[in-house]
Formats: sequence, C-alpha cells, structure tokens
Amino acid sequence: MSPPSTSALALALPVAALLAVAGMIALRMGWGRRQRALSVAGWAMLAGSAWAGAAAGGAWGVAVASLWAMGAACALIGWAAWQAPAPAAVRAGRTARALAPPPRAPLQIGGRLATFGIVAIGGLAASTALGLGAHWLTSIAGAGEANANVAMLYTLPVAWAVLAHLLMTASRRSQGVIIAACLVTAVPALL
Amino acid sequence: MTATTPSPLRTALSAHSAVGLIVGALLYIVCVTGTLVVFYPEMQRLEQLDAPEMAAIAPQGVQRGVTEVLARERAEGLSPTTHMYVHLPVPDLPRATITTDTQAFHLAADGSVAMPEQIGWSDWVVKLHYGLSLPGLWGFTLVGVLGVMMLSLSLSGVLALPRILRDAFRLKARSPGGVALADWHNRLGTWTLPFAIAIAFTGAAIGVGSLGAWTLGQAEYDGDTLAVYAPIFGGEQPGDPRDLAVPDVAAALRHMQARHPEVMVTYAILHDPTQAGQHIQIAAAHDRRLIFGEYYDFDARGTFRGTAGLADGAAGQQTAASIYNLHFGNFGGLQVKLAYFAGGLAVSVIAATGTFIWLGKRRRRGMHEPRLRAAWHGVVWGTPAVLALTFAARVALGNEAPFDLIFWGGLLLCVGAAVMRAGRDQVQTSGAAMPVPAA
Repeated sequence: MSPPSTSALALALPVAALLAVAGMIALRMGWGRRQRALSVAGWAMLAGSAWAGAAAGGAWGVAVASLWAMGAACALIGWAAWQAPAPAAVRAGRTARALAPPPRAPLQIGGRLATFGIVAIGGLAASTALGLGAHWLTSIAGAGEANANVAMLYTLPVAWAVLAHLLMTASRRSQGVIIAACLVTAVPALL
Repeated sequence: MTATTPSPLRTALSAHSAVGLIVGALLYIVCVTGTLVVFYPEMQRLEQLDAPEMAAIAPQGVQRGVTEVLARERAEGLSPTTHMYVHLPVPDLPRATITTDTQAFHLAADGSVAMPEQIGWSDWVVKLHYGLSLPGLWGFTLVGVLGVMMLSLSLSGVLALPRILRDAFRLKARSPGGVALADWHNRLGTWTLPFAIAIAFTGAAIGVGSLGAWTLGQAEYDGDTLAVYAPIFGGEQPGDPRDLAVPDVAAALRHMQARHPEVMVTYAILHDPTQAGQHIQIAAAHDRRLIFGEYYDFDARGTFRGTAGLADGAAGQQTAASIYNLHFGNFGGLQVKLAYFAGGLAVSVIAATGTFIWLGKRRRRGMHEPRLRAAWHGVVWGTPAVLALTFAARVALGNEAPFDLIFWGGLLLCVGAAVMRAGRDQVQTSGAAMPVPAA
C-alpha cells in the first residue's frame, strides 16, 4: 500500500474539522429522538474526524480536530441557551416558601480533617508508590529509561486524581485497604 | 430493618462537592489566570509596545547581540551567567530578546542591544498561574495539586451525571431555582470535558512532576533529581574545557538554516558562555507537532553534535515534550489560542458556578448564608477586576509595580467589602422584620 499523497494529507485537516462540526450537528439533531441513526452517524463522524486529524498530523491533528468538535458543541449549547424560554412570571402574592433551617448537624471537624489528611497525604503516598511500581514494570518490560521515567511522572497525577475520588467515597476501613494495596506495588521497585 | 447506604450517585456528588469546595477559590484563580496567559506573547507585546520587532534576524545579528551582552555584563562586574537564552523572532512574538541569569535585553534587527526588556506584568501573571505567588517549588507543587484535584473533579463530575448523554443538549438557561446554574455547570462541563482533562492532566504533570522526579531521584539516581529528566529532555553535554572564547552561535544558526530549513528556530541557548565546558543548544519548533520543539546540540564553535530526541525519540520523550503546548494552547496559531481562551472561560465558569450551586442547595434547605455567598461573589468578580487593576498599575507605576500586593490585597478587600455589605443588609432586613411592640 502506498503512503497517502501530500495533497491528501493537506486535505485531511479540513476534512477532520468538517467531520467534527457535522458530527456534532448530527448528534444534536438525533438527540432525544427514538431513531438512533442520526446519533450513530454523529458518533461515526466524530470518530472519522479523529482519524482524519491523526492522518493530518498525529496527536497534533487529533487535538485540533477535538477543538473543532468542542467548539461546535459549545455553539449548539449557546443556541439552546438563546432559545430557552423566559421563566414564568411569579404570581402576585406567591413568595418563595421559607424553609425553617434544619437542626444543626454535628460538624465532625475531626472526621473531615482525617479524610482530608487521608486524601492528601495518603493519596500522595499511594500514588507515588503506584508511580514507582509503574516505573519498575516499564523498566523490566525493556521499554527504556525515558519511557520508564515518564511512566512514573505521569502515573502519579493520574493515580492521585482517581485515588482522591475513591478515598473520598470509601469507608475508613476501605481507605486503609486501598492505600495499603497501592503501597505494596512499590515494594519490587524499592527492593 | 435494613441499614441505608448512600447511592453511588449521591456518593459521587458528595465527593465532587467536597473536593470542589476545598480547592474552589484557588482553582478559580488558576483557571482565570490560565485563560489570560494563553495570550502571553501578545501580553508582552502590549506591555512594551516600543520594543523592536522583526520577521527574522540574521545569524551574525544574533552573534553581535550575544557578544555585546556578554561584554556588558563583564563590564558591569556581574558573575558570569550560567545560561543565556536568545529568543528569536516567531510569528506571535516577532522580537529578538536575550535573557541572562540577571537581566534581559531586546535586540534591534542588526543585533545591537536596543533596550532592556520590561515585561514585569506579563511575567507576574504567568508566575501567579504557575505558583499563586508562593516561592519556587511550593507554588509550583500547589498548582500541580490543584491540577490533580481538577482531574478528580472531572471524574466525579462524570460519575455524578448519570444522564450525561440524555441531557447532553438540554440547557434551561433562564430557569429559576438553581436549575439554570446547574445546567450551565453540567453542560459546559460535559462538552469541555476533553479540554478540561487535557488542561488538568498536563498542569498536574507539570506541577507535581517535581514530586515524582524527586522521589525517583531518591530511589534510582542517588538523590539526583536532574538525572531523572536527562533521559527525557537530553542531558548536558559539556564542550571542550579549554575553549573560553565567545561561543559561535552564528555558526549553529547557519547550520540550522542549511540543514533544517523546515523547522522554526525559537531559541538559542548558551550554556556557561565563555566558561569551561560551554556549549550551545538550538530549540526549534516542528510544524504540525504538539512538541514544544527539538533540541539541537552544538559545541561552542557551532559544530552539530546531535539531537535530544524530542521529535523522534522514545514515546515518553515525545509525550513529555508535548504537555507544555497542550497545556498552553500554543500549537496552532491564533485560532487555537482563541479556542483555548474560550475553553478557559468555560472552565472558569464551571469553577465559579460549582460553589454557587452548592450555596443554592443549602439555601433551598433553609440554610441562609449571605456572607458566604457574598464572599464567593467577591472571589468570582474580584479576581478579574483586580487582575485588570494590576495592569492599570503597570501602566501607571511601571515595571516594578507591587503586583502581588495589589492582587492579593485587592482580592482580600473585594471579599471583605462583599461580606461586610451582606452582613449590613442582613442586619437591616432582620431589623425591618422585627415586630413593633404594642403601645
């Protein structure tokens, strides 16, 4: 198979942009309808936009194509906002129902501070351990020093973000288990 | 009787609210300043309108500027600079500027030193975005942590929106009772999600990267943090220790013109100029790439020695070199910058409305907190207003205006004034509602 010609590559980016905008319009037109054909076509065009963007310039092309898609979506959202009906006038004599303040719940300052510490310090320690584990795994897989170091540097923020959510929603016991399980992954790297 | 456990949706929403409240104000400031620094080159041009501009500068012009600045620093008795960065004219910043460890000068088109660089405000806004005025790595790491939390908020935000597709285009922009606010927050959050994730991840990777590098340095490189980055961005390769003459940067630039006409040279970096081991790096941007550029390494006489591999090396090198452009939106000219500006505004609106939604829910449950609401209004409206004030101070007071004091002091005043006004209004309202005693 011969590589694509220069003119085909030059066309790829406009095609990616066009598919991104058309895909988003199709999604909007198919939205809320029982027939899924338009929605399916919309997602297919968005996938095609990413493919054309990649053909035009790899990750750069995908990034540019995604900006077109997001721009089109935000324009459609702006249109929806413009079209939104004005709120019905509040009838005379009708005022907002005043609710009595609920009974003051205990502040649980200690518990909240503990959760903050677990998410901040425990989450950082656990994600650092996962990063070291990723570095070790990448190294023994023979991916090279640069890839292994980047694996560590990228794993840390992603793992911390996911762990922050998990630790915020877990019970104290589960929090301990999650952090311990993550810390164990650093053991091979530190031995 | 069975014990009730909170639903996953409620749990996700609760985590989303908690993280959002903890990081809310600082994250909002980082979002607003990030939106502004998309136009960092344009800000520099606006701040110093009379600096010489040119489409290109000849290699011998750069050589002249380098020689003049080195001689000037020697005559002033300054310690020899460890690095000299020569910014070369590019479309969004068509200026030639030399920065040393202590000062910076704009060059004229012939390479002569024209004037000192005066971009204190632009640099300050960038530093505010990078580190919230905290010193060195502390601020850098704090903003990185905010990036991590923004990434976490994106995750919990998606989990808390089970009807994300069904409501994808629904926007009751004028509905009362907090519906409009929630719709704006959720719809903008949905459709800018790829942008928000890209910004949050790259910001987090840049910010907390130092923590990861330090840990890896301790574990694998005998405590040498710089050694962690060397395989990624290329290590320092010192030149001939006997060569102490002014480095021949013109030869390196001529090599680039002859052998790599397809790339756009952005910087000439002189390491330890006129000192033992001096060498030259040329940074050049590649068309249609996310990488900030490739480093071309030269000895002090301008003989090419190799590249760092950011353009064609390991995948890790290429992705690491891509996070800066992906974060700042400078990979596709003005159109991409405008898209990033719009995306930055959207993310700022999401950050601002999040806390308003939380406050609204509490009010509907009967918990009236006018001072808290006023304080958040102070942050939301005060931040851009005080940023504008810092620019006014730059115009009125010059490059050395106390930007940190004006910004943080001004923001504190905005919040304080809003809270006091809300408190006074509350007292008047409750005073008016007091029953009049019977005569």
